[in-house]
Amino acid sequence: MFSVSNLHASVDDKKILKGIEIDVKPGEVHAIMGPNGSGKSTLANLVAGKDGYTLDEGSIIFNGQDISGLEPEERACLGIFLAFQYPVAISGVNNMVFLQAALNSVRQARGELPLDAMDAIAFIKDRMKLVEMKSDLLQRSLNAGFSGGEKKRNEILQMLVLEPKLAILDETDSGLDIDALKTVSDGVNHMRSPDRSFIIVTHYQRLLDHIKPDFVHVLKDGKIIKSGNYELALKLEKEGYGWLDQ
Amino acid sequence: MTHSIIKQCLQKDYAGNHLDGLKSLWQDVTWPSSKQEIWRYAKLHWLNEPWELVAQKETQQAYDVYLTQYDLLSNETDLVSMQGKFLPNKVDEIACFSHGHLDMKKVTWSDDFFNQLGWLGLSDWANIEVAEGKYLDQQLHCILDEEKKWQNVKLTIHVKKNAHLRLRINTISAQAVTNLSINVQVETGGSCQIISWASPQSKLLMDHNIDLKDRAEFRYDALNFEAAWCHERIYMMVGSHASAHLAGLLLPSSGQSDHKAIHAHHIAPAGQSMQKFYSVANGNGLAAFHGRAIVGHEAPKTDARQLARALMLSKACEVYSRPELEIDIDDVQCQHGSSIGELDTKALFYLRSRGIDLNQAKAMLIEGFIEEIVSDLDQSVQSWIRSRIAKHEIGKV
Amino acid sequence: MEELFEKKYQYGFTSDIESDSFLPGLNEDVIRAISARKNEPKFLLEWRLKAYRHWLTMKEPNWGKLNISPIDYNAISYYSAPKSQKDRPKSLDEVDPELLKTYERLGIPLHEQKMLAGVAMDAVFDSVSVATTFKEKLMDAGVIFLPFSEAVEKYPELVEQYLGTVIPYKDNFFAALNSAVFSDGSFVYVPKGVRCPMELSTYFRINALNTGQFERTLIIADEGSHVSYLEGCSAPMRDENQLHAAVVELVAHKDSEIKYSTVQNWYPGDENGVGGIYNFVTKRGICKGDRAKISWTQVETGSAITWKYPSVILKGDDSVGEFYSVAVVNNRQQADTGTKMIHLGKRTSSTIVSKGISTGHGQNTYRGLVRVSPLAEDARNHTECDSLLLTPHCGAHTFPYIESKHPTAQIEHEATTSNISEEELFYCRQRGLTEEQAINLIVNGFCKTVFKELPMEFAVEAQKLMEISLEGSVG
Repeated sequence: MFSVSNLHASVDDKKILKGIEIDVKPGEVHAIMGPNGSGKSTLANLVAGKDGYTLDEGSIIFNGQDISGLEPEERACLGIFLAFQYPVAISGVNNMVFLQAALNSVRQARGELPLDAMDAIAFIKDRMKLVEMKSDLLQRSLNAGFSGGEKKRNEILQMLVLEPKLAILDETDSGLDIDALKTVSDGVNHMRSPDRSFIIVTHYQRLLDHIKPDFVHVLKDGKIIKSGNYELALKLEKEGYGWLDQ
Repeated sequence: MTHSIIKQCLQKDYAGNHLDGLKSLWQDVTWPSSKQEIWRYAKLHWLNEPWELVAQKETQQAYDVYLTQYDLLSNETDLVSMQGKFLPNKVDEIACFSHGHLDMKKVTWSDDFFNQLGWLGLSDWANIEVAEGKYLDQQLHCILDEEKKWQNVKLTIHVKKNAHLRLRINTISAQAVTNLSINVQVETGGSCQIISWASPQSKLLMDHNIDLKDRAEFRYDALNFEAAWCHERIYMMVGSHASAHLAGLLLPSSGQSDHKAIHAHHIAPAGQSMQKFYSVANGNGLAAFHGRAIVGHEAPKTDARQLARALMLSKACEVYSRPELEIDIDDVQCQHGSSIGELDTKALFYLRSRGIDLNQAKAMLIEGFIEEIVSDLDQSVQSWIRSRIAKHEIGKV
Repeated sequence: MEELFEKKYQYGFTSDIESDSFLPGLNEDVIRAISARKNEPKFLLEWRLKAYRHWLTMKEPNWGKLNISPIDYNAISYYSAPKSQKDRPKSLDEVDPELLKTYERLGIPLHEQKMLAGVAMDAVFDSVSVATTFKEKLMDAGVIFLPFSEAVEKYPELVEQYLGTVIPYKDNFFAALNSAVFSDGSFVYVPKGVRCPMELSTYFRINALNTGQFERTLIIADEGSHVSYLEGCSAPMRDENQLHAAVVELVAHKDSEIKYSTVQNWYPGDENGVGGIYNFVTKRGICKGDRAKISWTQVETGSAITWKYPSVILKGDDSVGEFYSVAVVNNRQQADTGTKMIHLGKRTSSTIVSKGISTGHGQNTYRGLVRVSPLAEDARNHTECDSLLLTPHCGAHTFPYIESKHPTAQIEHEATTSNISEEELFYCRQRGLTEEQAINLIVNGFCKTVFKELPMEFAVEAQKLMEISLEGSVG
């Protein structure tokens, strides 16, 4: 359902990704690991269509369609979701209003009728139970004044609400305590289904204890230098990234 | 070129009209009736405009307040004449063609801070040029001819590439009005720091033009504790990646007034400017801050800030604050804040309930307020100010 | 006076009361003629003449940060009765389709569209009956709500007592002009202790809809009364007159409250700034008695040039003044707007919240005065003044004037300038919102504190209006 081949990309004329191949089938969970600066977040942002990330070569195919020329919102409406490493705070914009607007935009793209405020609240509150979020966070400004854990829970809540086909989690585990980590992974596990795929970008293996990936790729200097299964993640945790260079 | 820009900026000033509009605004408002009060208003507004404009307005016959003002001033300007003789004067690192009137007359002035270094007397005009990569730390006293009622002092400073200058200026003018104007140009990578102290009872008109090239740094600390009156106008152009920090501590008490009019004009990308002025007004003292940050279309990524705070200690004092922003581009960070108020009554009560007497409690709170700006001033003056506060020489209740 | 109607005669028309207009130009005869047309009492004519004579000595204010092309005051016709039915469009088909598109998007019902577009209407008409029941209800409560000229006829002593007491005719150039030549407007009097049973809206003042360029409004809330007044309409109104110089005076007696909400959407001119209304308004209220409260809320999206400072004079002890404003400028629009809070009474407090949004080549200026007089013990002011800049060529300017003459005053002023960052936009777009939706969402969030001060249905309209005003502002 999602594949990139020979992907080369640069940021500010600096080459970051140098030929990446990934093929994600429906229902699969792929983990992308690698040291800092290896290009993990670049890959995530590129797939989501962030400005300033230039695709030099290769293609990004999602459900048979090359999405590399699409606007970010068009990709989102196709069902690509990016859980940000650093979600921005937008003061003044009510979290609930934002969620409802996003939900209806995505629903419309799926050919579904928009939900009115009452239905949307009911739907969102239902999803909130899964991430154990305090309901007053809905009435606050989007991510403004949220703690690190609250922001990440909010990202997972958005994922639960928008029900994407492909969810990319960019370092979602960074800065989380063990309880929050559990909540985040519960949310992801709840979402796992035969027609939904995940790409989990992470530096550490601990999130993968909770969300067992089908494949693990190691990204270094803009290339995937090793692929394997969950065992590979365990080995990386034990021995670090050094042995891969030999 | 600088001058024409200043004119452009200031010509549109609405101060006079604003005054006019307010006059008719509501009859219940007691409008200044005595000449003295008109004086004060005039002073407050007049300094927003260059001399030429004031003169123009006279012919327009439209601004009676200005007229009063202008009469008084023009009488005084007639008394100005040029000082006769200049002695060339060389100070170590000044790669200088400095014409300063070196006057070693003993001034009844003894103070640790201001006597740290030998000082240079300045009674007319001087050029200071700091050569590339050099450093100069200098102290200047403006010294006046005792017979005069009006003294023009003009100082031109040129800090070349990567050079550094620290200048402390104080003004001694108990009798006469000092009209001090400083023109500063700081070249790429240079830094210039000026600490100016208005001496007790002095009467000051100051008009500075600051031109900061790329990556230049400028700091200006204005200290006015006991001057009779001090009206200061600063026009500053901030180049790309240049940074400017203007700070002031102003303590006008009875019969004294202090007015700062500052324009920080950002003309290139990524400059920074901060205007931070704290005043404590007592007696019938008057403190006025009129700051403006102008961010042109050619200055993206500018960071311009203003903070004006004032403490009012007495019934008769007056505080005016006008922190203004003029922004013509979207990609900027600009902020301003202003607060005016008396001593926090809750804090006062808290201190007193711990056994501190009222006056001491007040003094503590004033010190606390002043401390916020003192810690922001140049290191060399911090301890000096603190010691004066400790001795209750300034910041009295 | 005859020559004033010369033009009409020239073309062989008989001067019929319904449709006549004066020749352009202003002199004392014109003013006498206006007054005569309206059968005004002598005091009013005298007052108009005094204002005119004073106006002659005044100059246009030039301190605003505005670029105004010169106005020829002798090219303006100072009296024109409402257009007769036959001069109006016969049906909506004759109305500018652009205008109709906007009406549709604002969700304005068909019959209201007709009214706004000035389509000739039958005497029997839905809204008329609405307006009639509305009037009856007000009458029961004892509230006077009339076109200004009708109030002059019916309650001359009230008008004489209050007219010009808040904004004297000498106040400023445009107020003087208005005082001399004002056409019509609203008059509201709410008696002691009465809570006005409904929001008063200019919209219901059907017969006086065409008040022309020099509108005059006077609202008096007697002791302990309460009134909420809505001015304007989110629908864009076409108007041939370039200069609009209205005056609004509010008088709040002891324990009373006046809430005045405005949505202003006059024609702003085209993308290049051609055409468009000059909106030079003087609005001021006085909290005359103790514990009185005046609250101004405005949403300004229209006009080529806006020059207005709805102000409050806080004379009564414990009185309260509020100013909430959203001003949007797009294309070549210019706005210089803000408020004046004059604290005279003890323990008076004022709140100022101003949100300026600039886009296109728009120039937005906040100008606000907070003055604490030597008698205003324990006065409080809090000012919040934020600007949002959406495009590289727009401008946002902030000119606060803070003057304190009493040590117990506490005045706080905060201002920020921001833009919408790439990160914010990307975040929203990643969640499936278009750039335009994202901007609207953020802008609405930015204005929230002001919108919540508007009456419910007005707030909804204002939001829609913002979306339309910001259209095409996306880079």
